[in-house]
Amino acid sequence: MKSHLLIVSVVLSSLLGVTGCGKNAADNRAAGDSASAARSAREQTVAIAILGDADNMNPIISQISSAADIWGLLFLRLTKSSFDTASGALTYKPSLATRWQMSPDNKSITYTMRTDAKWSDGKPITPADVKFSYELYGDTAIGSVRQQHLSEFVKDAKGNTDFDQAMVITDTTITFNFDRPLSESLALFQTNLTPVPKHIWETVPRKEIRNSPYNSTPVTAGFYTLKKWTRQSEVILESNPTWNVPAPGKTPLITYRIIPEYTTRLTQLKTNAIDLTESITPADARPLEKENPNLKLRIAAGRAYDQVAWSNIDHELYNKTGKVKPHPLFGSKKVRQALTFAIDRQSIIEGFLGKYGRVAVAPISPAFKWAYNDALTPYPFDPEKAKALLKEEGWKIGSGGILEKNGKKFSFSLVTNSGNPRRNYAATIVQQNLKNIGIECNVELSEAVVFFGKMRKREYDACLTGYQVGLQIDLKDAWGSDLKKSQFNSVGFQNKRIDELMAQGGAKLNAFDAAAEWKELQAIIHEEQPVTYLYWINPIHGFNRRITGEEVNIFGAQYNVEEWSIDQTLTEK
Amino acid sequence: MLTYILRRLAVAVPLIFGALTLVFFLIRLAPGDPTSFFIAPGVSPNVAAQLREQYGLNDPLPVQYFKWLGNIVKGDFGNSFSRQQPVLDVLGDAIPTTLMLAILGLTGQFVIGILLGVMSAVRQGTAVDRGFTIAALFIYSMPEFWLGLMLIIIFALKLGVLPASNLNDIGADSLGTGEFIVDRIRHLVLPVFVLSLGNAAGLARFVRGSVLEVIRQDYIRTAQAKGLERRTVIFKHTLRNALLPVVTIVGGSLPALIAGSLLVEVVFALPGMGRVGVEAVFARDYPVIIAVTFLSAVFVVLGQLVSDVLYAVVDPRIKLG
Repeated sequence: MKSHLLIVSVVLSSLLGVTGCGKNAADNRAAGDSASAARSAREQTVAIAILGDADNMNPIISQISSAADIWGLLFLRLTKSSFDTASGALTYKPSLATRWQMSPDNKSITYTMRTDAKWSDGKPITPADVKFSYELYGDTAIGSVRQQHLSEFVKDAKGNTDFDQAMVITDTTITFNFDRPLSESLALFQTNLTPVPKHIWETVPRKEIRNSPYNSTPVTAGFYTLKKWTRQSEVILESNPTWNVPAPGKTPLITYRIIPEYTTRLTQLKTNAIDLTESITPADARPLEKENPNLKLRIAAGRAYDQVAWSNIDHELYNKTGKVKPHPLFGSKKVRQALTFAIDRQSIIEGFLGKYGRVAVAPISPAFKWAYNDALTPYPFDPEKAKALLKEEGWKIGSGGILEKNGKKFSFSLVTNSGNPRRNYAATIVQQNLKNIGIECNVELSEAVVFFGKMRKREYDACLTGYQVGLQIDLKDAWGSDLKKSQFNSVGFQNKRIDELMAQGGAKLNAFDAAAEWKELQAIIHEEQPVTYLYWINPIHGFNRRITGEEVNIFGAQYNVEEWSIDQTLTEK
Repeated sequence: MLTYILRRLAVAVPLIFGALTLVFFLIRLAPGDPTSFFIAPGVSPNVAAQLREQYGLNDPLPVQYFKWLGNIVKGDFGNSFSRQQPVLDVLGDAIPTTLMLAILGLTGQFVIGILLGVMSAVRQGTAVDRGFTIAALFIYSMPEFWLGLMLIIIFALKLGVLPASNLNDIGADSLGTGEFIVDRIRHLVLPVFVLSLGNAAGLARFVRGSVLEVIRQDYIRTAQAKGLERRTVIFKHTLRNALLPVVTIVGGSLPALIAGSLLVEVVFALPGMGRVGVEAVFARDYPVIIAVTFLSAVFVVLGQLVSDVLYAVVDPRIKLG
């Protein structure tokens, strides 16, 4: 009998995966003590729900934004960027660098670094680490997604980055040299990539970097250290007691729990099992605070928008021959304006986003106050005006109540990606709105990878898509007339004046001086309507009230996790 | 018997290998490729090309295939594109959770299914039987995803008696072994229940039919006639014979359970193979897709083999070989 019991308990515990876990604690603690230890662990832990696991803990190759939130606490940069809501501009504060200086010709920037900051293995952080890291970021054998940050660096005769010319170091300083004069804000932005320890990574062959075990057990330098990472389950960070730039993370532990299903994330937030759940849907946000006195909502400034992109050019012809001809349906400005008049953007917002959305007019976020053109009023919802414009363009009601011109019906497919309730909702309203003015619009849902492939290869007539704009205004990828270079100008919009404005705006040595250029650019896009901008989305984040000191801004909900503390009087006992 | 098993295993090798080859070509011919995620505003357009080179995707398909073949024969499944880890490590992290769920789910399925099936059969035609039949049909047709969410809302949100996700509470590492197990069990109650219930409902119908078949046999009447207790008749004489066909379902259930555990893993945030597989498909992470297919194929083949062998073991009339 005894041996049966033994077998059963061994089978049971191995089934439940208890091997090793908790044993050490059991050895040196009475059972009651360990339960209170677990309770106190919760008291000292900020728990954050994330949708997917991190890819790795290496800033050079990591690509997922939730991973960047995590390793952002493990590694610091030369400066800490912040956002000045009053002006709507990025600003920078000292971090690993104590100060910086632009050269008089604006072609270089020199940072003076702290001498007392150390990697987690005790070695000092030096300018050589920064230079070496940039060599990794720029190495084509590694293929970092951040290599674009080196695009303004001094190049050799072949056009490749000349690392020795581009970065000159002394014991305490590093100077970055550019191949043209840059504004200080652009110089700071480009030179603010996260350094990694040279003494660790120089031992790994470049081609092996993606497969190195250091990607999951990194030597770090930040507010926190990586305590434990259980793949697909949780990442636990522990405050780094020796950290001095400026101080260790305030909360002793941060646990990121990977919870793919939204309803489960929300339930965990409501039941106090999680302290932060990001991107709550507007429908859930409305009753959340009232029904859950333990929670608070924080709204971030929006930099993501949805749009309906109309093919301005005949994509089929362009893809086959490289020739540019207006699209048979959307090639005319008046037709595109009519489409915007016909779409009831306000009702999409009221139906889905509520107070967490606003009508969009152009590709620059209202959060960038200095550059946003607030003189532009959105086209109102006016189906009659839309009909009149289409009539002027020769579109007449034909068989089945659908508009026709020269025997061609106004009928097309609106493609969008499946699995996005907001876009699906918007697509349905757009479809209905267009039907009301005699346009046949068939909504077609595509799996995300296939959908973005279609956009990139310009294989669609109209699509409902969205973007998140960068923190630095840079519209060349999206609006440059050179369709080969501007890979995100998928609608094929070409406008010489816009090219000029982007070149002039980008060349200003004081970024704010470019405000006039950006405002004119928005006015042209507003007039031409190459796409119908739908709405800016303000993300909603749900916090447990026990979290204090959080600053939610355009960077997101986790901008200053290292400064959060826990109000123990509000922790569930 | 042993030669039979060995022969079956020998046949399985080319079978699994054929499945892998098929998947190798299918995923590469499907639209989208692993580097499409690296094409984004602000990211150099060169990145995708550099990564294609690194992943060896620029080689012609036959070259890629033979390179892959050479590695597979050596047992090298390569490195995951999206996780920067050897594929075997990716699976090694996920398999224990999936096995735990599958075994507990299988046990739950058989315990609940047999119990309900027998109860339904011995009370044939009564309100209990009809109630079970309707309930079984209802549960069988219920999507696991939805059932999981409903249980989370009832037991975690409204009643607050069970946790909604993950395998343990935060800070569980500092618990003693006993408390750790209790915590783990609390986290497993809902997912295992969801995983078992749908299949149990189907099984209960199967068991009911089988028991009814046996109960009509002469030897059962004999047993009853010689004055044996009802319980003995049901559990010793009826059930033993009625469960013969049920045993064969064990093997067949294994692959279904592993497929079913995917939804449960997503809803309850459990780090298992189903999630690894699906994420790999979305990320077009070819090496991981192939490895997950490999494991699924192995489970299917082994499941079938276990079914056949068990059949021979429990029913002496069947001879293998």
